Amino acid sequence: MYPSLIFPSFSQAPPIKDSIQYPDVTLYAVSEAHVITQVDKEQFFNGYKKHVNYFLGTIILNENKVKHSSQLKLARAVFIKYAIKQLKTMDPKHTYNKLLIAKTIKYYSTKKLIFTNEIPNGPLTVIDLNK
Amino acid sequence: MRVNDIIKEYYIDPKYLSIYRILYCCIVMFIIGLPSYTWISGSLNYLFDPPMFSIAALFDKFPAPWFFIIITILNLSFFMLMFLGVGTRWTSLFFSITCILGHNFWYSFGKIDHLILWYLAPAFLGFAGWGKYFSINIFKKNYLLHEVRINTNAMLILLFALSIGFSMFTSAAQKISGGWLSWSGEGVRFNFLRNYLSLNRNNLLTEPLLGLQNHLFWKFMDYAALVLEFGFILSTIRISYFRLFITVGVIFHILVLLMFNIPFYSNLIVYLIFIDWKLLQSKWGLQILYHAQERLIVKMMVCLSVLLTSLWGLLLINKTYFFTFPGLLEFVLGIFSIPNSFEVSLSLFFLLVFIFTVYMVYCHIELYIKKNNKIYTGGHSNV
Repeated sequence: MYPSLIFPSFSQAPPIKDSIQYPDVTLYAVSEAHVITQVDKEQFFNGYKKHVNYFLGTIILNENKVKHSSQLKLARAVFIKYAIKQLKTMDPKHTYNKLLIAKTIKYYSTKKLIFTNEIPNGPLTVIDLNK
Repeated sequence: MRVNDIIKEYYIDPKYLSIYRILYCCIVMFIIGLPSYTWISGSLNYLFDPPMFSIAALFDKFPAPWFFIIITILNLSFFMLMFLGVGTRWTSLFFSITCILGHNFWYSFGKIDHLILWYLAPAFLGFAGWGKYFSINIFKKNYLLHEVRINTNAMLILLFALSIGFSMFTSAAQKISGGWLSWSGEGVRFNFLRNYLSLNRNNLLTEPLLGLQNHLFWKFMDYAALVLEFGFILSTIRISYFRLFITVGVIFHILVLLMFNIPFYSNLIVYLIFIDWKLLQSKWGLQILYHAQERLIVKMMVCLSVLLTSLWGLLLINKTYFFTFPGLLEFVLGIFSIPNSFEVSLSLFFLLVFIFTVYMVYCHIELYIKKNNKIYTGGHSNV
């Protein structure tokens, strides 16, 4: 709700043992040669640093709704143009034809403070940049 | 204590409120900058996902670009008029309204930053009399100062204090429902590790605390945060209690910055309203500002507003900055290619607030000792 005085809270407080887990969203691009590359989300969204995971979450939702809304189809076409242009700027040597968005859960060791594992947290969202 | 007495405790002389207005505007102009909404455009429609209860939810996509240009220009204009004391009650209110309207769309991507207090404050303080002094109207002939009723002033300031208290209360309530009271859970540590490991947030106290696994320490942090956040709203019963919570609140926000690297500057700006202005007056002799220097100060304010309006106007035309018109300090640091210039200027602000808080605490302790000595000496002589 906005505007409101209901403030964020960092509300979770699980017991902490050897490992700790946090949800994340990862963006990949697939080249014409079927090579999958992880995309720097912040660079892809060009400065919208604090919003990137929310952007990707909204795209996942809209990909499921786009078939039923002509307005969303128009908005999607604009986004795909943006994505192609942005990928070309980030990596001029390759041409990419798909975006993959993966919701994941990342595991970290609380003793060594390092990333240890990542597992999928929901189906992969595939965006065909040629459609 | 009667309700009327509680309300009256919150009265702040418009002279002091006017100083606060200048301070508030200077913090915006030098440190945090002013929001710009021109970066929001139709090209982002595929990412449009406003909260269910918000003005933006009335739309099915972003309005046209000219809407955001107008909102940005109006917001900037109201801010400058408020700073110069022109129709301050209304320009302050409209500054808050344009900020809230613009932020409705800013927060239409799923993420809401809870920095509302700093731009909500003018809506309360305008009608409490913060535009009475240091106004450009001083140069008008037959200029009459607008009278503000004591009760209106005190009630508005109390309502704003309650707003702060309520916001902290909602934060505490969510923490409790998330398990912060449970002895086995570690709320501060969980979120601290998340900020470091997952979001790469790092500041001075991050590394020293990373290896600390002492459960007692982290539970103390959990409960201390809960007591502070719950206590705020209860403390509004007396301004002296509220000031105590404000002081601890400053330390809390500084710790949040140093551990989590989250600069929650909004609260620090509005905490400054509630300092003991009479004590500060007795220490610094603020009356000199009104008698001898008011016209000079207003002339300096006019120069500053012309400079900033020109700079921000140029940036608006050239679309140089995305989210905010930068504060002067950030702008100057940027010219010298100092990296993270916004973060550096914010850190400086936090440092100044910390030094000022320590100074005010010292003044209060000194006053307390003096009062006690008087009582003691008086009692002794009577014997």
